[in-house]
Amino acid sequence: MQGKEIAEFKNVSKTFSSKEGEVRALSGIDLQLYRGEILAVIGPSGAGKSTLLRMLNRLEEADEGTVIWQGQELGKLSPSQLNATRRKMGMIFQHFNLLAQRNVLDNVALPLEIHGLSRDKARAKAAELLELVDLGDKTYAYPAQLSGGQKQRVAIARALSTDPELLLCDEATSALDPATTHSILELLKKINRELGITLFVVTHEMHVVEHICDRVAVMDDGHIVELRSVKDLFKNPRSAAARKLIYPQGELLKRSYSGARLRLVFDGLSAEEPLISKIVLEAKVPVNILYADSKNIEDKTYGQMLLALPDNETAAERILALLEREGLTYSIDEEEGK
Amino acid sequence: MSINTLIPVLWQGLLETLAMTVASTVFAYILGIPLALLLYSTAPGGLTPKPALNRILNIITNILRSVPFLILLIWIMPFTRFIVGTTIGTPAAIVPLVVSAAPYVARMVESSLLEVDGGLIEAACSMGADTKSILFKVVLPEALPSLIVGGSIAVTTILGYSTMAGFVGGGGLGAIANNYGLFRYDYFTMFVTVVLIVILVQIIQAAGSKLALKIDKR
Repeated sequence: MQGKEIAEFKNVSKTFSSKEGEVRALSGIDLQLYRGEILAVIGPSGAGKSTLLRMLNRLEEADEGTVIWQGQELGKLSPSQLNATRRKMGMIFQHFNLLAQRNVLDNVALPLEIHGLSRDKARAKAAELLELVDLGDKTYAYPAQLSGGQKQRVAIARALSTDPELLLCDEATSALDPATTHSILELLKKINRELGITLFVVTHEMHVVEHICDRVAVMDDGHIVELRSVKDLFKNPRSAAARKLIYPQGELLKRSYSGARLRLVFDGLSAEEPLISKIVLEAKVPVNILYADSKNIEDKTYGQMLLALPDNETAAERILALLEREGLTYSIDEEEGK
Repeated sequence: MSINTLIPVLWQGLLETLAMTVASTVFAYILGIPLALLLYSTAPGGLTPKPALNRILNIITNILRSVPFLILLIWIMPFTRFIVGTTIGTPAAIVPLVVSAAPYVARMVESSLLEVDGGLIEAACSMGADTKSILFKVVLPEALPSLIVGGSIAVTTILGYSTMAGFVGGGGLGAIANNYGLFRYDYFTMFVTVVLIVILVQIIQAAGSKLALKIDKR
């Protein structure tokens, strides 16, 4: 939340009608985007997150509500005003959408040509951008000769060519392998930090959110069910959708173990402490770990651990007393159906 | 007919056929490309949907496409006379050839344009491209290999039609096959003519495919 508001959704709804009937893609969305931040929208497929993103450059129109860009209502722009506004927003896609018949340089130059720059000037600018994304050696290659990660780098350079203030990333790493995803995310982070470009990221991959985002909106079935800082979300996901995304296995275990469970939360400070040993040695209670997971966010460890809480009440109390002493965040999930 | 007299006749016929084919193709594309661009962009879900206009253009295109060439050739003779002043000879054959081929070319071009990935059009929209830029900077260049393949099919089809024009006073190889083969039972001359046409079609088709393959960067 570094800066002022750059865009805003106000009570936005959208319904698609198909032969099978009407699908409510978005209902009553309120969301602010601040200059300089990286905001992620995450959710299962069909949650409406791509539709939301595409409303920011009016590839989709809102049925109800308004989308504001820098104080202007997007829905009221004339076609030529809209095209001028779109110039201030770059967009990258899951499947890159590069022109197969243009080489890398001319792909990056395309938005500038569209906005009336001469071909030479457009190419000069494109060449600079290819250096920025580390593809200076691929200038005259064609997209078919590139790997997925290289194609996405070209697409990023292309999206940056018109000096946008906002970069829309629609599942930009979903077609890439983990290592390539990592390098693309690093590049996006660099673009945000060094060029000050605001990023609106739509993804279904939690590690994308962990890796680069400041704030995250969790979407489920057309609604935003949770909107918080990434840190807070990982510490304590409130919505069912968020828990499912963060701890998919944890949710499975919840069903398979019927007793009371102790949920420990590591908030970035104490994950290094040998906590389990302490419980065993000091509280003298055997520990049954049901689930454990940790994530690294900004070089701090965040995680959760699910322990089976002993039926023996004094043993349980000894554990809780120890946790109090250690200052750990925890909660007790009661047995299902109790 | 002896070989010595046959060769100059065939040469003359070949040149007429090529002239008719090339001229008709050029005019057919001059009319067909704009028609294809209109069909493509006014279609429902297209760049600038105009359902009424699109329906009218589709009906006209289909009507012209469904009239058999030989019938169209005779049907539009008054129009042909109006344009070139006569209904006989090579220039007169070009008029019905263009009228027949233009809607055919439009359909071929339209189908090439439709092959262009919707994601590219969306990307162009996101860059702030207007319809003109999308058509001329994205859709047409991306469709080029397919347009060239379509072009060689169009040329060979027009060449085939042009030989039919020979039966009603148009010149070219068709006229030779008709005059010598049909009217004088000179099967040898007719056979040679047919072989020439087959070779021409093969050359054009092969050249088109090769060129398309060469420029396609996919």
